[in-house]
Amino acid sequence: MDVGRITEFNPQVLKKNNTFERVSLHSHQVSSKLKENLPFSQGLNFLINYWELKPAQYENRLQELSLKGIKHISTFVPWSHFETDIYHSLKKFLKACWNVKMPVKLFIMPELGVNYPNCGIPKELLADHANLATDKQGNIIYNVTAPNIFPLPSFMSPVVLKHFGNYLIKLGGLLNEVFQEVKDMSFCEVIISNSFFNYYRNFGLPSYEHGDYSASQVLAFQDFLDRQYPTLGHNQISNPLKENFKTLAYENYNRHRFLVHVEKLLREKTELVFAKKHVTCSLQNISLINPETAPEVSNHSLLTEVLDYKPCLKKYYDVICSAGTKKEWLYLHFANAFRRFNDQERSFLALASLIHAGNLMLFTQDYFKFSIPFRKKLEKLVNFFETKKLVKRSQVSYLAASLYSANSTCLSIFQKMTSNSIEIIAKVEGRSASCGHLVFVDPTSIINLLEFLQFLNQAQTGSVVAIPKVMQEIPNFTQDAKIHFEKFSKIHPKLKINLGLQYEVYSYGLGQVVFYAPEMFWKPEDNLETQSPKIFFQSLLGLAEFKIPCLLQNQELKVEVYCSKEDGSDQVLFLINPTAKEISSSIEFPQDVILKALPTSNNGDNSLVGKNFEIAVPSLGVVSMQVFLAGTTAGTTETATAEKFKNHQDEVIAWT
Amino acid sequence: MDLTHDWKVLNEVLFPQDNIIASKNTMVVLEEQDQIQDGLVFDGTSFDRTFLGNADGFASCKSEAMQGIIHTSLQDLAKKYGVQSCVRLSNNKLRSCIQDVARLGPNYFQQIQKTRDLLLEKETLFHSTQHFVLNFLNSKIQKFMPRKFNFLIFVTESTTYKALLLSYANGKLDRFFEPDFSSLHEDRLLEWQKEYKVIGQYLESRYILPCYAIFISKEVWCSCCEASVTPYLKPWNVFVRAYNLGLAKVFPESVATRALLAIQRLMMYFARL
Repeated sequence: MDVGRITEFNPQVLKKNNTFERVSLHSHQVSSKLKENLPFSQGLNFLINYWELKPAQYENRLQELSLKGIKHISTFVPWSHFETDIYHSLKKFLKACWNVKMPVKLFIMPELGVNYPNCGIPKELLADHANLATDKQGNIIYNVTAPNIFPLPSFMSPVVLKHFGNYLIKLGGLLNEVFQEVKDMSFCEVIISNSFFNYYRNFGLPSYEHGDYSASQVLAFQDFLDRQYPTLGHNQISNPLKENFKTLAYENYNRHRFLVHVEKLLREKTELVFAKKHVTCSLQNISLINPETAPEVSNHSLLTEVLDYKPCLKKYYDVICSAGTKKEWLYLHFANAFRRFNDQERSFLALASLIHAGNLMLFTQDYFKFSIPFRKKLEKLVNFFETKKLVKRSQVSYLAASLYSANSTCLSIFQKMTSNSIEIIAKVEGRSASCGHLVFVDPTSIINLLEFLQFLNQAQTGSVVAIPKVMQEIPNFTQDAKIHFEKFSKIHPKLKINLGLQYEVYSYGLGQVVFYAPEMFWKPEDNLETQSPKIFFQSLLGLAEFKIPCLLQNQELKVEVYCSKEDGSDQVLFLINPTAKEISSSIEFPQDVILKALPTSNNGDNSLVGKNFEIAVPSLGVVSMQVFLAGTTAGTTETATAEKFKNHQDEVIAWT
Repeated sequence: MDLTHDWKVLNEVLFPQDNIIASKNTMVVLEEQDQIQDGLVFDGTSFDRTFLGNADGFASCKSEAMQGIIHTSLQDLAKKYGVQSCVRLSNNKLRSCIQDVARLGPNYFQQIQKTRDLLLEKETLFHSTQHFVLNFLNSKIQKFMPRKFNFLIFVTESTTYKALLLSYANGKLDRFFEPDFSSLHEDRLLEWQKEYKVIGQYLESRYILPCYAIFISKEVWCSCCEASVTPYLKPWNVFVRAYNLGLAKVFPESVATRALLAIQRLMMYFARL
């Protein structure tokens, strides 16, 4: 199946193919591929709340939006509204979409920030404490932002799951009914998001304590542990302590693995329900987050309402950056705490979301509140990315038990060293081969045989894979993985290095495998000597031939690089200034480059050539530019025009 | 459709300005177990991360002797951010507040109000951006109002309109939502200057409750809202002026309403003198 075709969700594609293929049931693998190849056309999603309109208005409203240039629409489906809706609004809405030939994306999972009481969660589920999610300290996890304050349900509660299953069956039935009536399903795409799994933490807890620790998950967690680490055979009982990964020492790691496992199961079950109901339209798996409700800023959002304060833009910007690292979709709603930002701040947040996360979901009314020039620039940018097939460049993948369990010291060092060219992943399978790509396995991981083989496969395709070594004092490899590791290290020639941290380098296939000593990371993070890992990480980056996109003198500026899927040297660079003051900084490239304004200015096709530039980024502004390596095919065509305009930097367009 | 607590519409109608003016220049430090977890400054200034987790001098100490140190430190912090005062909030207290207000159901307005009441001992340091219409409906006028009633704010702009129905019960804002005008022809709504009585009567029969209403153009409404946050300007004065010019309407035009408008006119006259 051509995965790329599904992701290009636009009417032109629909007309040509007239069908949407179904993503296979093993969507977790597929979804990671989808994320990788996510084109920018997927980036801008326009939301409409169908339940806020009268069914008679649907067609008119959609036609109005179509005339304004909106090519596809997205909507959430509030769970309790769908179950109690006697007017069959969703069915009417879907039919209206089909009538006006407007493709529609249905976000079927409950999401925070949706303008419906309890964000659409049936209130009877919230009445029973047994159904509620709790954090590691035993406190119930609450949503504290609009539309109202309510406790989050736990997807591990059997009652919640049963009720949710019934909702999905009903929804599947309705979709099937609609598709049969209109004899077409190509206009509809079902989006399965990770729902509340991003929000299972109360404010104040560190990210490694993320997760739902409600009573209902005790048995499920125990069952998960038994499956993950099966009981030892009688010949291994002699040394049970070393193999006992079920102990408290590994609890944190196991909890995160469990969280990922439950989320995956929920997605798979959702797909199964739709498959049973013969809903064969396109299904897509994504991770979605609403920055206002993220655990890091939830209390901030509440207190801005309570105290009538202005929200702190930087906090939300940090959440957006972090979502970019985790490859999450962003959903901005300017009716809650974000309504307190002014136009410039809102435009900046929208643009920053688009650049950092590669996508953005906005309500249509919010989008049309932006100034016309800003919307035009946004459209130009999106079109440019579509035609050039540009994707966000992440040269380093940080593999952790879950998206929240990455060792904060390692992650922050990597982020600084790579100018944020890093992504956090929770699994390695399904990753494409990319030469020079570094996969760093979290030092506190427990490695089993399957994972170990996956790492080796990844290395074979050309990546550099850094794996923690077998430890003597604290077991971190399962018995079979350990045997395989020992065999591997005996067979293959290695290079032993000690740079404050011992590691071994093996050439394997097209890539390399690095085994590093993880002992120092098992100590409390306060005791970690940051100098040793720094040198080690530097050497790892060197081994992976990591190319830093540019060096900025001012660390307050953020950099984001997109490159073409077809030609890696064809790059687009964004310099983002999240502060309220203008920042002037020198920018240094590793070699001579040609900079070209993006979107192209009306005054001509002007470019700059050089290695060092002095660039001023306005407050809450973004400077975007195309970067070509001088001397490459793309670069030579630019050089002639560029020479003429050397030293004229006025043509680099700033987004203000 | 069946939203009875539509926070989005409430904000769209009551606070049409883009910039909501922040409250008095104060700041809040959120702490738990002697550790500073977060800081909020009234104008959205980013709180310095170096203070996070730094309990020295900011710790909530039980001994009275140490109270002086806390006071001084908070004052220093206030000085650093150029605010009038800095207030300490306990994260535990906030958490228990959240637990309490979650029981109020889906009324976010009431939840926020109650959180304010429970959380802020020194209320004088903060003031919420109360709306002049809400203030009026919460004032002594309540004594003359029925136990349950609806209040419509109908704001029009060329060919579009935005309506908010505030439903009061026992002196409290019970529900807030966009009223259902499905049985009323769209043209009648756009012709509000002639049809305001019909609209008011329609809502009375639709919700079987007495209805009071103000009909106003968006331009005038925005000036009223602007006046409510501008010193020396009074929103009701702007409204009465617009009413006199026929740019705003009220329902019902009863003796009581006329008397209220007359009192407002008199107050405007004497204020000018």
